[in-house]
Parts: sequence; C-alpha cells; structure tokens
Amino acid sequence: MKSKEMTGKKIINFLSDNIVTIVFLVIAIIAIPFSKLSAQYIITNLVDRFARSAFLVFALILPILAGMGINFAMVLGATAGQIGLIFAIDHRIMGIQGLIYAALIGIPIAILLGWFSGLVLNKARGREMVTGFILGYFMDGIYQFFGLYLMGWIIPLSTAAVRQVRGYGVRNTLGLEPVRGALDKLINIPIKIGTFSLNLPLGTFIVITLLGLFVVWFRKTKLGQDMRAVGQDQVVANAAGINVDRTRILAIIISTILACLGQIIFLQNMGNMFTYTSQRQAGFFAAAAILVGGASVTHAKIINVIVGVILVHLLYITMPLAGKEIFASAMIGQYMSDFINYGIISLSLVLYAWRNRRNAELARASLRGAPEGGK
Amino acid sequence: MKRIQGVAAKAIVVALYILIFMWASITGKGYLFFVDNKARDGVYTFSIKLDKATSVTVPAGSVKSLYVKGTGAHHIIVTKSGTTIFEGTLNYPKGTKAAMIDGALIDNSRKNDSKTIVAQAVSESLYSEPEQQTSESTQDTAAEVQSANP
Repeated sequence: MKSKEMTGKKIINFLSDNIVTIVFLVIAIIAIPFSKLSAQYIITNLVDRFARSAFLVFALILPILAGMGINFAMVLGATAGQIGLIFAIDHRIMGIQGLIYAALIGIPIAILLGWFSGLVLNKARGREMVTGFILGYFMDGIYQFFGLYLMGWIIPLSTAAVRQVRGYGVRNTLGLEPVRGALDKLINIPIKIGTFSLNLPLGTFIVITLLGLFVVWFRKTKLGQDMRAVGQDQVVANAAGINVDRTRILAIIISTILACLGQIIFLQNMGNMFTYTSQRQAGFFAAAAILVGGASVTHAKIINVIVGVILVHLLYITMPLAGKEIFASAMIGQYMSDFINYGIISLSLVLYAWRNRRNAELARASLRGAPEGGK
Repeated sequence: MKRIQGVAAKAIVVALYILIFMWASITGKGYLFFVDNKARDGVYTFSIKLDKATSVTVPAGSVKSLYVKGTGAHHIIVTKSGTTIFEGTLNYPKGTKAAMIDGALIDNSRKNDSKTIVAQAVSESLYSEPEQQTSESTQDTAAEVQSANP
C-alpha cells in the first residue's frame, strides 16, 4: 500500500517538475501530422535552427546557477554583438575573420554592460528578472540613440550600404553578406543516407559543444562552486566568506559575453540584421527555450538547453502549417506558437511561485508533525 | 611575485587581443564587387563562382553585388545553365572600394580567348538603392519578420 502511495507521489512530482516540457511535447506531437511536413524537411530545419540559437540559450545557465533567475538583461549582450557586427560590416571584414572582428569589438562592450547590469541587479536583489527586463528596454533607448544619431556623425561610418541616406545613423536593415554563414560553412559536412540529405554545419556544432564543455568545467571551478553556493543561500554563502556581490556580477558578465557571441552566431546564420529590433527577441526566445527544456528559474542544466531549443523550433516549424490545416490560416499557427511560447514563460513563473509555496507549506507541516499540512 | 604574474597574464591577454584583432582586420578585408547583367545584345542569365566560394546567379537584366577577400587576382568561374563558359582570373583593381564586371566583359574575354577579366573601379554607391521606408514602418516590418522566424 505504502509503495503504491510512493509511486503515485513520484509520478505527481515528475509531472509537476516537467509539466512545461510535457505540455510542449504533446503540442508538438499533435502539430507534426497536421503540418504534413516531411521528416527530411523537419530534421534539416531543426539542425539549421539548433545551430542558430543554441549558443544564445546557453547564456542563461550561469545566472540561474547564481540564483538570479532568467537573465532578461542578456539583451544587453545581444546589443553588444550587434554593435560588433555593424563595425565588421562597415569595415568590410569578411568571413570567419569578420565574426572574430565583431566578437572582439562586442566582448569589451558586453563586459562593460554586464558589469553595469550586475551592479543594478545587486541593488534590486529578489527582483532580478523584472529589473533585467526593464534594463533591456533602457539599453534599447541608448542603443537607438547610439545607432541612429552618434554613428556616422561622431563615430565615422565608411560604407554607404551601412549609413542611412540622410548621411548619419545605421540603416534599419543591414545585409550581412560579408559574414553570412561564415561559421556554418566553415566545416560543412553533407550527409546523404538514401533519399535523406542534410548539410551539417559542423563548425557551429563544434563551437556549441566547446561551450557545453566550458559550462561543465566551469561548474567545477572555485567560481562555479561559489555561484552554486550563492544561488542556494546568499546568507550562508556570505558567512562562508564568499563575496556574494562580486560572484553575482561575474555571473552576469559571463552571461552577457555569451549572449554577445550567441547573437553574432545567430545573425551570421540569418544573414541579415534588423538593426534596432533583432536584439529584443534574444531574451524572450532564450527564456522560452530553456524553460520549455525543463529548467526552472532556480535550476538549469545543459540538457534543458538542448531539449528546449529543439522543442521550441519544432513548434515554430510545424505550427504555421498546422495552423493552416486546422484554422485555414498560417498566420493563426504563427500567432499560436508565439502565444504558446509566452504562455510557457508565464506558466513556468507561476509554477515556480506555486512550488515555493507548496514547499514552504510542506516544511511547516513537517515541523508541526501534522499529516494535514501536506495536503 | 603573484602580482607580477597577474600583470603578465593580463598583458599577454591584451597582446593576444590586439594581435588577433589585427590579423582579422588585415586578412579578412573584403571589397565590394558588382556583376552587371543589364540589357545588352543576347543577354542571358549566368552564375559566378569566385575563389571556389558559393556561386551567385545573376539573372538577365539585373545587378548582383558580392564581396571578395582582398584585391588582385581571384579565381573566377562563369557558368550558364550549369555549363562552364569561362574559367580564369579576375583582376580586382587596387586602391578602390568597389569594382564591377558586366556581361559584355565576360563575352569579350570569351571571344578573345583571354583567361583574364579586369574589373573596372566604380563608386560603391553606383548600384546601391537608397532606403525608402520610414524608420517606424521598417522597424514594424522587421519586428514582424523577426518574430515570425526567430
């Protein structure tokens, strides 16, 4: 009898811990047959999209580890990456050198913005996510001022295709031809099995794997252990002699640098850049992906990134066509996948609050020793 | 001693940063290259492959722009309907930001049995189209497209 109860509790715990992933998986499984897309189409698109956005999502792991929740301020890092790309295109640096050039310009900016962001988030302890979210908007304004007025006026722009017609400011849409697919095509392996063919962007996958290994290694370092300790209990970590504020700032700086590099990889895959809007999507997409992958605002693993990116993109590939079949409009499918993504972020945050309350109630009940507390 | 090691490590990082930056900006320098396939006698669609990179198709009556890494000699292959009609060297002039070749230049080289096409230096804004949309409308469109294809 007791073992049955235990199994039941285990199932309930598993479902409540993975409800977001399960819901997403069910929706994706329903959408695939309705979309009528071939396995070849879905897999080739998934591989391409995974290479495009996995790096960006990795940027969220360390702030979660340090107990700062989803780093919506990663938009700042994405902005730094875009500034680097603008300079690479303006100075006409091509290929992989162009990406390295953009990264070398973006990284110092990302460090500066990450440091600033970390300082602000330390002042807003306990409200990191909403503060990070608003910081993104704040940075948006500064970036627009920088891009629309300072560039080409105070900071010289030498390429006509980058400059706006009025003579200053960066164009709203920037073609990234000189660096398009530079990393994806660096080592491109064509795979052909029967009628199935696929171009594997091995270069990008190697970079993503190296980042995964870095995260695994980093968690074992002194700083990684400090971040874990700070994430579990800041008071205890402080008592143990860990500089909590510094550790949190470092987590945000590393996350911002990774977001900068992730945005560069994302945009080289896309091939063009919407100068003033591309960065806005980075935070939302990454948050949705990592949460869909089974992470919470307190726990995140590499597997959550992998599963999340695959599931979110699976939905983005299949939903427009599934929507067309079910509702006779592809746009409804598109709206639905947006609605589901944002819904997932909300659901995860609600579940986090609910779990916290449930755990507190269980802790109180166990202190009282009364069975009714565990209802 | 530890302090000196720290300073030395930082100096190495800065030196490496500068070296990589210089390497990227020198070796990656790209130059704008237009392929003009506008009206001429017997205009036809052709594709161009430079330095064994991805080929660019230039439909009859259009102009395509691409980038080449560095000035001087480049390997060029011109194909028409999948058949190679010209293979040789493209000379990109030094001291210019943009250069162009057109269908007539390719045809002349084929007629003369020459293996070299010399690109003509042009202004980089020769074929560029000014931005027509207003800031707001472009940003709205951009946001829609981006959200549709994250």
